[in-house]
Amino acid sequence: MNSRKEEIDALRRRLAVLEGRLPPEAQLSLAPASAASKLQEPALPSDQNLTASHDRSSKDEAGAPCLRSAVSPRFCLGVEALDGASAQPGFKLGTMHEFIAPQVRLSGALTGFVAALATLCANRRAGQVLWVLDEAVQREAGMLCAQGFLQFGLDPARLIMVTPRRVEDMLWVLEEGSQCQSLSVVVGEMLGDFKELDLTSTRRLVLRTERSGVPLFFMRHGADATVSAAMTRWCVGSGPTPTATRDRTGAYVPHRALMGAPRWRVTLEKNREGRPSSCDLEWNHATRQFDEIPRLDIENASAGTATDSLPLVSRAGHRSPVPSGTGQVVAFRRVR
Amino acid sequence: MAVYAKLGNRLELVCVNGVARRAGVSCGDGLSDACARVPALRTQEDVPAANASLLAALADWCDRYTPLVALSGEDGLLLDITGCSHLFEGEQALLEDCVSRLTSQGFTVRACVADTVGAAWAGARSCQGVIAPGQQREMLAELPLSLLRLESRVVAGLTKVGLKCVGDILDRPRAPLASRFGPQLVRRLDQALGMEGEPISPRLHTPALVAERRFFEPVSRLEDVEAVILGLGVHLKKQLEDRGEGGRAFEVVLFRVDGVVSRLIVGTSGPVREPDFMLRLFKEKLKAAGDDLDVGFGFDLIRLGVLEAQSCTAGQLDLSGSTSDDADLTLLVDRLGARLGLARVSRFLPQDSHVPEQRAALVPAATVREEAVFWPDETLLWDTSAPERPLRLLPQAELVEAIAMVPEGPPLRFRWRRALYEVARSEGPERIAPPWWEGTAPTRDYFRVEDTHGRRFWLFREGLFERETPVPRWFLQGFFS
Repeated sequence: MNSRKEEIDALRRRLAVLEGRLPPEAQLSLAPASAASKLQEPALPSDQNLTASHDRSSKDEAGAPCLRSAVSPRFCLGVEALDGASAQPGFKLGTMHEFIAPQVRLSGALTGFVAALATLCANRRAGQVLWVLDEAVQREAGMLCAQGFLQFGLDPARLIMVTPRRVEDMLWVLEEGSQCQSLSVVVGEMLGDFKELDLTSTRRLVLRTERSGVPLFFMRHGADATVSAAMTRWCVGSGPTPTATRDRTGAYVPHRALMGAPRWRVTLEKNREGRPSSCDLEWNHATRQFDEIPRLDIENASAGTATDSLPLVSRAGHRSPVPSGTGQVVAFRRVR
Repeated sequence: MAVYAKLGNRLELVCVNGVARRAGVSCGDGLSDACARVPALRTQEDVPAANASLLAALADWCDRYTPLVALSGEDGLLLDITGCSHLFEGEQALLEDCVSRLTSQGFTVRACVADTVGAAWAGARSCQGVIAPGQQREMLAELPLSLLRLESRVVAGLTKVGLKCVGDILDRPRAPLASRFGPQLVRRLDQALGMEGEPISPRLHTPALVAERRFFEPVSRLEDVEAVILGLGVHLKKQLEDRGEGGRAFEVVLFRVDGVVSRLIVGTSGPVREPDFMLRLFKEKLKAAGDDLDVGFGFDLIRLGVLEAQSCTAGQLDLSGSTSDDADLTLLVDRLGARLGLARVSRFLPQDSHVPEQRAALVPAATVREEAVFWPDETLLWDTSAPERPLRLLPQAELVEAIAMVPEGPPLRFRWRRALYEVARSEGPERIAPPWWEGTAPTRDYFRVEDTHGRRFWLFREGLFERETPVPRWFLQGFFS
């Protein structure tokens, strides 16, 4: 009889826990503490599950560590300086990220960084990439080059380009795109600042992306940081300057070497989930991965010591660094 | 009120209204004469373009009677009402309806229904109503020859020999008439009598299927218009199913009470039958039309037509109950196309060309099939150290002032959009020659260039030094990252 009562009490406790209310004292007799705690254990809210799934974070096939938490998928750049900036590693996928470049002439760098991120996301999510760009952007910064994207790692067959005429149409297209779940990524491009692009309109975009899980990368050429509801804001600049070397007379001359992989100086200016950060990145388009360029090199390079050019140049490919002062350097296609 | 135009060197009245005619001015009077005679005369210069657009708007309006409407000269409309008159309870009723509606809009109309274009043309200008079938010979016999759509030279020649009415030449031997006044006379006569066919060329493409609804009281709320479109769509769906087809382009024609006609056309990326789908596209179109679409006093006729149809097989449902995964993507593309215009939603189609700007063609996403867009993976062919093609291409390569150490070498510095760029590193040249069979465009030597701030550009030098041009020009075409 006693065991039966204990059983009923235990079940009542369990029900109460499931329903989220405290069990009334009258219904509960003295239950052994061990039984109660054992019962409550699996029913705890999902904090523990969450952390557990985070601990189980692993590297996926591409090599970049990626997380699939129970709450929302995240993406990682594979660079500790940026991935570690948030409370959880990486960045939330289903939300809006903003990218700005202070000058329009940096459009190449800005496009490259966003294209690299879009490539990372497009590898994870199936579907097309909706690329929305203003007419002004087309005129000032140019159209997308399909062949360039192909070499960069993003298949142009997955690109759908939309060129709205007005800013309101642009925002409408972005809203429609970010709630279409069969899209992989939505990318928006604008030139300069617009008063239509305020907290309200960006908040609408964020809400839609969070509901659908489609990432929205919003690029603004030649723009300053403005109020926005985006999760992060990145300022993208061109990569570290080529190192200067001394010639025989001791004057600094530009080091004429080959160009190498796309690289950027990326500043994570705003991060709602964590702290801002900054990093120099290089894109390996063959493996579709980011590599971090050690900041040490660049600081030395700006100081102008002669030895600094070596690690940068060796990164440029499989070629040996070319000594300066040997005349023009011309790249030939490698014979296979 | 009179309208004048400059004929030769003189301002002449070309059209006067009834009040002016009663006051004593008539067409052909000089402007200054008429103004001196009737000082109260209000005059207005003739604007042929405005006349033409008004006539086109009238033709649009006449679309409510028949889809086959053609312009006839500068002041007439031809309607082919074959098979349409029973919808208006007979030809007489149709004519009266048309004339009374146009008169109430303030037009002076003369109209005639006849078996042939020529008879109707003559009948309208001699104030006849409906000419019974087969009666055009009797009707024409009494009319002057000028109503036979002849050149004035021919009419003058006939008048000179005493032939004034059509009846005078009806029974004459045709060979002498044709040899003396040209074959046009006989042809026009045959056409008017119906012995020779004369098709009219309609202004607009005739829809494959049409459903329409007329209203006794005009509708003016957009919600009502949308409900009507949905209802018409249900009608069309049945017909499309019977034909085994789906529509690729739809048109909604809204006839406003005061005669203004608006057309909304949407295209789809695949055959569509579902009325809901059509309605969603038209909703975008109505939103996009926004201010341009003036509802005014409302619409009294709404028509939904299928402009283009193609065979459509029913999709098979999979286990989860949906036909395919990208259904909402198709809907998205169609909705974007409906609101922005189909050409503004595009995809890259690979082209067989080495000229960078011609390597990819932008085609409307709604018209391209998924299988057609295939980009061969060329990355294996390229050096893996860096991409050799930029991420962005300017719409037009822009001329830059560049300085190179040697004419064949890479640039040392260049000025683009008034800013100076010092070149720090460069790779190249990559020589791309235009197809020799396409004229004499110069050869291009492309350089990938990085400036001292790390910005990367794609420049080319147009023309080979001393072989093609003495002064090669430099252009900036793209941006690397």
